[in-house]
Amino acid sequence: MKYIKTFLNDFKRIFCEEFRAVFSDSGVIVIFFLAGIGYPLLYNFIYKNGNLRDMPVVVVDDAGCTESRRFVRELDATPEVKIAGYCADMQEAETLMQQRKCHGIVFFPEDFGERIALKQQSPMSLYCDMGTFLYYNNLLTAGNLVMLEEMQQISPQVKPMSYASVNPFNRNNAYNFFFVTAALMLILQQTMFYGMGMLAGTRREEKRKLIYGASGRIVFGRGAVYWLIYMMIGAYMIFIVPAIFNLPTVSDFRTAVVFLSVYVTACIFFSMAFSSFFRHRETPLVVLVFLSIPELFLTGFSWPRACFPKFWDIVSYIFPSTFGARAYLNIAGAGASLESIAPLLKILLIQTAVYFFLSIAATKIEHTRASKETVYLAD
Amino acid sequence: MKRIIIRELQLWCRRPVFVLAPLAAMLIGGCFFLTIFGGGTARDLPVAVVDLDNSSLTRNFIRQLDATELSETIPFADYSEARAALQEGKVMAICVLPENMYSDVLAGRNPEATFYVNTMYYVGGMMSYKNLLTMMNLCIGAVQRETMRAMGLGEDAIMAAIQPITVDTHQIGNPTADYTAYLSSVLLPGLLALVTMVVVAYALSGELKYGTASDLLEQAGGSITRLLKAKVLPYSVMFSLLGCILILVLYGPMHFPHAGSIWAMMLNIILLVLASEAFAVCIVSFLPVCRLAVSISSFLGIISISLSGCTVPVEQMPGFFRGLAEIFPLRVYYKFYVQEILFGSGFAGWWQEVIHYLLFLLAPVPLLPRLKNACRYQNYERN
Repeated sequence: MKYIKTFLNDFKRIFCEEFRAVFSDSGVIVIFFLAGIGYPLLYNFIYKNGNLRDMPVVVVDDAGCTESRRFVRELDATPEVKIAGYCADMQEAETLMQQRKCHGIVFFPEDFGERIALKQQSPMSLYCDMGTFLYYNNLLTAGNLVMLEEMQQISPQVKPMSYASVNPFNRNNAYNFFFVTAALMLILQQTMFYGMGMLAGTRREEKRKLIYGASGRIVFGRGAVYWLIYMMIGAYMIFIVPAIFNLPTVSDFRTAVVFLSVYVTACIFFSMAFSSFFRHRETPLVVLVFLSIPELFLTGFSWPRACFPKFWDIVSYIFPSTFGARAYLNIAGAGASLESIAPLLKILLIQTAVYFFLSIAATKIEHTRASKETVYLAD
Repeated sequence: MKRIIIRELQLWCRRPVFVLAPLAAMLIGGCFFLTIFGGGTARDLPVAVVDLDNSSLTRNFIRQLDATELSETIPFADYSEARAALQEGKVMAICVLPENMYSDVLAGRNPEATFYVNTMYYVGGMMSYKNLLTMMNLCIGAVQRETMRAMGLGEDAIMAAIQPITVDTHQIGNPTADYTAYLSSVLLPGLLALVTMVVVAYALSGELKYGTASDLLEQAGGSITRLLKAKVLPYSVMFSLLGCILILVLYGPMHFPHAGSIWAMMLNIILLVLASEAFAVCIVSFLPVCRLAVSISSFLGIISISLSGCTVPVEQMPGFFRGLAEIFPLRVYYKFYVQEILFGSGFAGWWQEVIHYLLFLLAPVPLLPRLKNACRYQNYERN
């Protein structure tokens, strides 16, 4: 009974102390609140238009026949591509592409119509700007769809079978849907990581006395502060941001809350375990800021996880963001149930346990070291 | 001037973070981005197949689909199981082949196969979908070809009837649509620019934080430009060297396709390093507080990768960001890279970018008096 009382008292003291430390440090406030709240808004504004529409393309039509002109007309009618103009020859078209006035060239050879009339296969060419794969993707998609349509027009055939495509979770193939959704979870982890690292670095830099008490109480007391702050920021990310920007959102409140609390807890112990390495206040940012980008790719939001080399797949198990982002993509984007993200939550819980013990060990080591130093000073 | 440089090198020995941080970042980042995409093209993406027919036609189709480079088929007993796997991101797409498909084809009843795609996992979803479409169209063509062969048509006439138009796609500057070459060519210089900005901002504002700035200014004879030149020179050398090694690795052993010259790209990356340093100087002049300067430069460095336009084109962003993108050195690097590497246009293609870079180098000039005052009086918050 007495133990519980001291535990609660220490917990309260450490909680208050850490709470004060967070809110009296402008650097940490900038990272937690400005970055935590500002980044989601910024990325949403940048990627507001989720699709590339009406990409300018020029036509070099050496054939000038009915079929080629119909092809161009239909290409212009696709949402992906807009015919920006006609060029007399390829050289002119290439110059325009180099001047970034168009991002694709459609070329019909002289005998395009003639070959069709002679019932021979008739080739044509698409030249894609590879500056970004979205240009390439747009021209290819539009070109292939029009080609399939045109083939049916030129040589109508009885189709032995047909197909229907359903893209239930991201009907428009919008870029912001999956990018921002995955990025939100990464922002949550990274801002917490840098902020906590900064606080830990400051404490060591100023050689401020470590808070005394058993390590368990310290870890819980400090963790509770971040948990409170980050449950709020997390709620902002998964309820408010998607509502403002019409992003996919978790429909089931219970699923959202369970997921968020598991993920935030995992992130806290992850950050706490690693923050014990920093001796200076700015080092976490200086040394580790570059990690955010590889971590984003490790979530598998863009390049599929099935294609990762084994080594990087194993490395991805270090970061809670890998599983947090995947789970969130599934529950928000694809409407998966809590049950179906259970394997991911399990990994997050294992991470939580591992990093919890690491943080306790780190705190203990620091205490012994600190007390040794005190003894040394006393001598 | 010499004294300041030596002092800086001594600082590096005392606090190796200034050298180790960039080295580690480029080494880890480099290894990551050059290997994570495997061979640069996706392979064996999991696709769920629900075969409700189990006939020779459907099984043949599944075998063929499995044999393509892009897909690996995973059999599922029914749609709801497959849908759960799709929602969990375990498979990229589902292909449902209906009951009696084969007999319907033979009887001309036009059975319908259904594809479901999850484009929340974008690249995997899109690639799998593309592959499914191709394979389905080939399958349709194969059935049509059988019918026409039975009618006694020649092979050429059959192909012309099935596919009257063929499209050749030419991927300018990246003929194999290699993902590694596409992303790493800009992401890795982006990492370099980010680390340059953060480290230089830290080195400069660290002087203010530890209260050594006024002393340093004295050593430079009271001239802020001389101070900056001497202080930043060792960093310029180090980062330019890192940049040149990066370019050599990308276009040497990694064999990234390049239409232009490597020398021009070296010029590009050195200018990128210098412009990023100038950017960092601007940030420190605005905010001569160490932790703010470091946080702000890392935030801007991360944002600049999105705003460079290497993934989502800048012209698709809202107007404000189209303008904002131009104040980041990485955007200029990207434009230079497109001209030199993709089009091989030489000086005529990228001279404007060089001027743009030079403007970055001039940008700190009006802010220098502010920085000088900050150094002299050190009257800003230190922690």
